Amino acid sequence: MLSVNNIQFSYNSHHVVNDIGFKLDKGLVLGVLGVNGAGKSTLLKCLNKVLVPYRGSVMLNNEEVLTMKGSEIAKHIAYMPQKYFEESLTVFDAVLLGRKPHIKWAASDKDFQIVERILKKMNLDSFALRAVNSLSGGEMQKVVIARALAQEPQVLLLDEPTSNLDLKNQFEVMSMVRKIVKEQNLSAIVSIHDLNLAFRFADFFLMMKHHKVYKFIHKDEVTSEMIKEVYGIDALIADVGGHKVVVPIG
Amino acid sequence: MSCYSDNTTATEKYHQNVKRKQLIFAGLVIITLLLGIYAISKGSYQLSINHVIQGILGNAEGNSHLVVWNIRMPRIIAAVISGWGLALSGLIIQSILRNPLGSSSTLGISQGAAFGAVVGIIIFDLGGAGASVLTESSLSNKLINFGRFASIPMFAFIGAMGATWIILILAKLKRLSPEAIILAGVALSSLFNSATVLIQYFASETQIASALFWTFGDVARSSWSEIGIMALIIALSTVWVTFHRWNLNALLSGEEAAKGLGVSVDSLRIQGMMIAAVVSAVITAFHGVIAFVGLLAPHIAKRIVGSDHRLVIPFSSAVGAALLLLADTTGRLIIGSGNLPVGILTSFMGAPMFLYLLMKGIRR
Repeated sequence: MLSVNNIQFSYNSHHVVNDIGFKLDKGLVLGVLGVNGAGKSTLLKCLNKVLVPYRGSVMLNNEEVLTMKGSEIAKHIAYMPQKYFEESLTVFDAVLLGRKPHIKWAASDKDFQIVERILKKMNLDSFALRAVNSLSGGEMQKVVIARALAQEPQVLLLDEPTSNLDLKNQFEVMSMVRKIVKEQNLSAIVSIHDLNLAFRFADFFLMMKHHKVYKFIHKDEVTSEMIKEVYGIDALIADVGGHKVVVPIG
Repeated sequence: MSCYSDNTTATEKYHQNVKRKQLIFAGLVIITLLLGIYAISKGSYQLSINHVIQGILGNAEGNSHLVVWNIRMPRIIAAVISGWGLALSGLIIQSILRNPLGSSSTLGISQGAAFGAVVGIIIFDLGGAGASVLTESSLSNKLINFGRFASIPMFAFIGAMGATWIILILAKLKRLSPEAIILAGVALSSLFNSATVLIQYFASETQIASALFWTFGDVARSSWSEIGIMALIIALSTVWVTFHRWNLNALLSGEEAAKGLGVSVDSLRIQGMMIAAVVSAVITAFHGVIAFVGLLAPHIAKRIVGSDHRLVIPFSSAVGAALLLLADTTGRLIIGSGNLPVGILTSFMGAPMFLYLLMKGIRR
């Protein structure tokens, strides 16, 4: 269980994340929603001390995360930033890097076994010796997710994992995230702009407005009014083939 | 479907690939050793390979022993150690700033060292010209008295570390981005160059000649004790960078990704900058400005082994050592009187080689 309480973060006395709190059980995907600048990315970075919040706590299985060292946090929480740079590491090395928090000096047989298993699971083994920067956007995103899994975390923080991806890759990446979360009983917090993907793949929504929590709600309870409140547009929530879709209306 | 037609796993393929690169590394070290033996044997006093080996083992007598241990070995060992150190320093700067143009020259550290040396040579009259540009006054006398206890390498070291501190303070106070740090370094280089020229303007011809000669990097200047100091500092720096090889790999995918993997990025940057600066400063202090090796060697190494710091650290060091030894041997045996400073040759060789790499595409 992940429990986030009263997280506050400011840039130059301007509150970017203000008094955020929620609880998330294992095996669930939380979609963080809100307009650009609402504080979604900053919130994710505060949860594993990429940015250090000046107030609040992040409890993971009753242990305070924010007092842990960075390398210790990385054993429990994997973070996939919105911006990452193309690397000239091989796919194998890039995924092996996910073992860094666990490696003392050199990678062990166990580390190699974990990388091998993840590469196979994600159908990346055929690319193992290719440079990451020679892959397509979708393949590269899979490598970053594979690296996060190699950390063997309990929580995945994914900041806009589908930005810059085409429709097919968006669907594949989010399907993969959901499948892994359910299979491995992890928690995932995904900042996402696409409401349709969020409805399809998240269980709960954290809707942010003006740097605060507007609603922390199960996706089935989301209404058009809430979407208007957060995004400022009229939208219709329709049921298409058993899936909820959001259609902006005139 | 896997592209491997056999049943080899990705891990096995990976280990085979690493082994292949380790063999290439061993080859590089052997080539450097052979080049070193060849370089010892050649010169105005020719030695057979047998005499060289006997000389290295301490079994040679008379002139052979003298030539091997007092003349050629210090120069060759100095070239190898300096090449190793400059390459390491360049690699650290390129990695922590995530910028392929990072090196002690682009950050103004070498120019700071040159400025420091010129201050020592001209203002404190350490070049042996017999006249300081300072006018007779009690302050000037005090400065000149201080200069008597100092040496040119000491001034060069102070200049290099001064440049480093300016960059570090600017980076810390103004929270400069890696790109801005490089730009600040370029500006600082220009400032130090101008200040060096200004001091030379007031100097005598002998002092200018002395200052100019110092700024041409030359590996033939150092004594065994100076080589020992360099070797110790560079070896300790190699331990540091090897210890941080995983952190430097994490930094390849960006600052936030590295922090997410538990890397303390700010601390890594400050430590790395300091270590790269000390290595570069000590080499420049003893040997003058040797351009391009720090910039070029890491790029050549990355072309051979990719960007994994577990491999690129030893490869860069070996390439740097081989490159500087090759340049020095070429300058000594082929060009001019046999005393062409290696700094001139590295600039000549380095610029076209760097342009070539640039056209082929640089690896971060």
